[in-house]
Amino acid sequence: MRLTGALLAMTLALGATLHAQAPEPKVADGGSMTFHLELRNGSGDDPMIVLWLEDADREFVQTLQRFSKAKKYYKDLTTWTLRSSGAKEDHKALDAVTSPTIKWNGTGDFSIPLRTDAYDLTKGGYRIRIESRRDKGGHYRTFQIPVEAGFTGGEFEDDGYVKKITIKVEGNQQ
Amino acid sequence: MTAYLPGTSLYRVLALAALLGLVPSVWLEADERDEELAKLRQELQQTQQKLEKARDRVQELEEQVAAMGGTPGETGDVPDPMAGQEEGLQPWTYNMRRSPMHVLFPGAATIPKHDFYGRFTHVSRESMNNKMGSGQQTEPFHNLLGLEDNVRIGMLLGYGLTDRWDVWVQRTNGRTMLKDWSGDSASFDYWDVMTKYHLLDEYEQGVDLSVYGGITYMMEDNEAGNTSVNAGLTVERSFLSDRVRLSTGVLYASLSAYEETTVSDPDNDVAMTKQMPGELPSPYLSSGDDYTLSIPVGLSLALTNHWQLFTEGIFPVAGYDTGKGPTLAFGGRYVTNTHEFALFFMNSANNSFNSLLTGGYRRDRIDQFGFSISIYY
Repeated sequence: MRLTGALLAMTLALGATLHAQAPEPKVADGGSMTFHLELRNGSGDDPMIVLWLEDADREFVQTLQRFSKAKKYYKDLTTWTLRSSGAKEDHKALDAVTSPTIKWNGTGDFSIPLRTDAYDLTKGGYRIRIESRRDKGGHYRTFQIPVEAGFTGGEFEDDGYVKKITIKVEGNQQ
Repeated sequence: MTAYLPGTSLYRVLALAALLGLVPSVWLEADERDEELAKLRQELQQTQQKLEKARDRVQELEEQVAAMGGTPGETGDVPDPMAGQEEGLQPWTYNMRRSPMHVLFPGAATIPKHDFYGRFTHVSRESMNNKMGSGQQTEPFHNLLGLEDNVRIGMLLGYGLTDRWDVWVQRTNGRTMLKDWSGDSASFDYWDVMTKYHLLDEYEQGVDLSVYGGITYMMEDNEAGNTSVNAGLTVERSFLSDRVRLSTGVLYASLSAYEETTVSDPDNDVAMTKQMPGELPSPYLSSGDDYTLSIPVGLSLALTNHWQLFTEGIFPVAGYDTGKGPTLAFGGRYVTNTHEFALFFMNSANNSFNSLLTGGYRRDRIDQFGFSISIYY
């Protein structure tokens, strides 16, 4: 009985351990691009940040990530609002890429597939735009990262609220 | 359906019929709704067309900028006011430094350039323990902490001319004064018209220091009145990782004022109203020097990014004073990027610049409840 109980406990513990282990990140079939944002130190309310993709013709493609849950202030991200106005993005899709604001001096992470029906980053000709704004504070909208064919990622710095973005590219890039 | 639109003959017939109860009035309501819907759809379509044109124009301009070798960043970045000062910044630093008006005296901060600032202040003239001016003591919530009667209301509007220079005007309700024995009286209100300049910045010179000046005009019914020439300066500095902020300075009013706080007091140990020029002397009015020179002191403590506790005092050092010690206030406030909400207790119900620096109403009490709501926009 004691041996049975011990075996049962060990089985349960092993199962819990396996379950608790962080799963290996799955690389999408077509590869993925991971973003790591570092925020500058600041004070007052945290800034709103949005990243989106534009093609070679500077046409809006897709919102990649939005760091703010304050819906009534999204319109203050004026460049992104104007750019995306014609795209009529699905609200549910936008909510899926929306997360809370990043705290001052903090970091934020997200990843996107290299290929979707809307874009193919492996072919190049894109640029990633970053806009950040704080109420009664600064408004930064000129930060952008070109994505050409064969893009392998890197570190990109700016003078705005997002001081650095580190991009890693994984998986099939053909 | 259009035949049913207001203005048509059929609509008039139906309206009459609805009045007589011959047809359901809901038929008319449906027509009005349809018309409103049509108008909204039309406006929506027009606005969408304008937006499309604006987008196309933005793209054209970007291409022109890029073709000329410029950075395709449209209008460029607007730097944060605290850019370059990241080292040592705390989450509460910004909210601790930005208030242009404390409860009792002006702060060192100025209103940001081209921003408006509004503040609504509401202070009870009754002690929270008084029973509706009867002088009797009762439980504090009998007259809602003194707010159900005899309140002093201040409405302030300010504007940032530059990043370091602002102006503001504040109106506070005053009182009535008897001018002669025939009963001729005049009621006046306080109008503060002031301007402030931010001379020193803590991050550059070690302290925040601002100077300000202006007038308080005690406007009577016929727009005649008395004028106080005011001046002052406020010095502020942060300590303990910006969690504590100290304020002090100098305040001067050439014609100071003071108005009694409680209508009556069982111990009769309260400050009397200051007699104003042209006012009939009375044993219930105090006289003395016209001017007052005072030293303000303030202490703020940041509990979180938004929540603060504060205490303030103004100590008369020359000229007229109530003889009942300094003007005092303490309380808490919640500060966001766009609003500030404060709850506090004072030992005075005065609110104008030239009346707050003359002292409290009684030495051993701070029981006038007040609140203020400020907005930056």
